Amino acid sequence: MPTAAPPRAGSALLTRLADEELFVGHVLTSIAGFGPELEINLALSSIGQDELGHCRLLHVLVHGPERDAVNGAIWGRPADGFTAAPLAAAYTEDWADCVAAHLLYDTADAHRVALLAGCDDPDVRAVADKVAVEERYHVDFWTTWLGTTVRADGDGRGRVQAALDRYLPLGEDLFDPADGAELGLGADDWADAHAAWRDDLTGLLGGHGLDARWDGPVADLGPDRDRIVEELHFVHREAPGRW
Amino acid sequence: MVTMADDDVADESTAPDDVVGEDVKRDLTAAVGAVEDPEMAVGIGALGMVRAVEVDPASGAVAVRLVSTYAGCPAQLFIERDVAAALPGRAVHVGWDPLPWSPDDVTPAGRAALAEVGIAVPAGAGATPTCPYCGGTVEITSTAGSSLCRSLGYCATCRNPVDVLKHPGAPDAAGPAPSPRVTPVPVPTPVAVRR
Repeated sequence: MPTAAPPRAGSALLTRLADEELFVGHVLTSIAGFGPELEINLALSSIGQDELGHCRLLHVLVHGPERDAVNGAIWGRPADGFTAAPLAAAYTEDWADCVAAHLLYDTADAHRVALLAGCDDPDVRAVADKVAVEERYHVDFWTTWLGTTVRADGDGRGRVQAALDRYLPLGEDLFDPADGAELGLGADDWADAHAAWRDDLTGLLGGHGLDARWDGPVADLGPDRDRIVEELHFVHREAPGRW
Repeated sequence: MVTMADDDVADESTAPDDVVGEDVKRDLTAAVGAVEDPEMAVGIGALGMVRAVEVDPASGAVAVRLVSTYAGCPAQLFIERDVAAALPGRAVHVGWDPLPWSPDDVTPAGRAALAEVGIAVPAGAGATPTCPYCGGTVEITSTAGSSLCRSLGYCATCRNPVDVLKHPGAPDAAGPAPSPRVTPVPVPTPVAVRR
C-alpha cells in the first residue's frame, strides 16, 4: 500500500504566503473595472491574476499539482483556517487606500520572495524565481500611481499619507519569521529583509514627499478579512459542485 | 493532470511501443508544439512553452512538461485539454514546471507567427518593440495589456495599436501614466541567507 508523501518542509509558511496572494488577488480582481482609468483597470486585473497564479504555485508546492487538492486547500478550509497577515486582507475600495496598501504589500513581498529565492529547497527557489520575474512590474505600477496621485491637485497627497499611516504598521507582520527555519530561513534573515524593506520604503516615500510613520496605531482590518473569506466561500456554499 | 485524449480510442493507449523511436518522439513533440495558445493563436512550441515530451515505452503514455508564460494565465486548462486531444490514443500527463518564461524563449518561427497576428516581440530586455504592421517603433502605453503576457503599445508611424509581449526584464516598463519616478524603485535580488 503506498504511503503518503511527507509534508513539505515549510508548508505552514508557504500556505501563509499563498493565503496572502489569494486575498490580494481576490480584492484586486474584485475592484478591477471600478478604476479611474482604463490602464489602471487593466493593471488591477493583471496584478490580481498574477497573485492568484502565485497562490496556486505555492499551494502546488504544499499539496501537489492536482487541481482538486489545490482547490480543496482553498475552499475546503474553514473561515478561521486562513493565515494571511492583516495587510493582505485590506479590502481597498478607496483609491488612496488601494495605492497605499498594495504598494506596501508588493514592496514587502518583493523582499520576501528574494528571501525565498535563497532558501534550502530547490523547488521553492524555482517558484520564487518565477514569482519574482512576474511581479517585477507590480511595484513599478503602484509607485507610478502613487506619484501621479501625490502630484495631482486637491487633497491626493493628504489622502495617500493618511492611508499609509493606516496600513504601514500592519506591514510589519509580513516579515513574521515563524516556520521559516524549516526552509533554512532564520529569524536574522527575516530581520535583514524587514530592515531592507524599511530602508527602501522610507527612501521611496521620501522621494514623493511622504513620511513612513512606523509607530502609528494598528488598524483593525478584521471586517475586511471576514468579507474576503465570505466572498470566497459564497459560490461554493450556494452551488456546490456546479461550476 | 492525467487525461485521455479520446475515450473512443482509449484501448489503444495501452498499445506499447517496444522501443520509442526518435521519429515517434519527434512526431509527438511536433504535435504538442502545434497546439495553439488560445490567447495568441500561435503554437506553444514556437512560444517556447514546451520543455519536455517523454514517452513510456511500455505503455505508450506521454508525459508533457510545459512552462506557463505567466502563472496566472487562465489558458492553462485549455492548453492541457488541447495537448491531450493532439495525442489521440495515448494516455497523456501534462505538468507545468514553475520556471520563468520570457519572450527570449520564443523561436524565430514563433516571432514571425506572432507578427502575423499583430503581436510584437521585443528583441530582448529593454529593447524597443518593432511594429508588426509597418516596422515602425512601438511605444508601450500600458504595461498591463489584453492578457497577462502582453502590454499595450502604439505605433505612431502607422497609428495602429499593437500588442507587445511583456519582457519581464524590461527596465522601461511603463506604468499607467507617463510620470517618471522621483525615486528609482529598488528591486531586491535573491539574498544569501545566513547559515
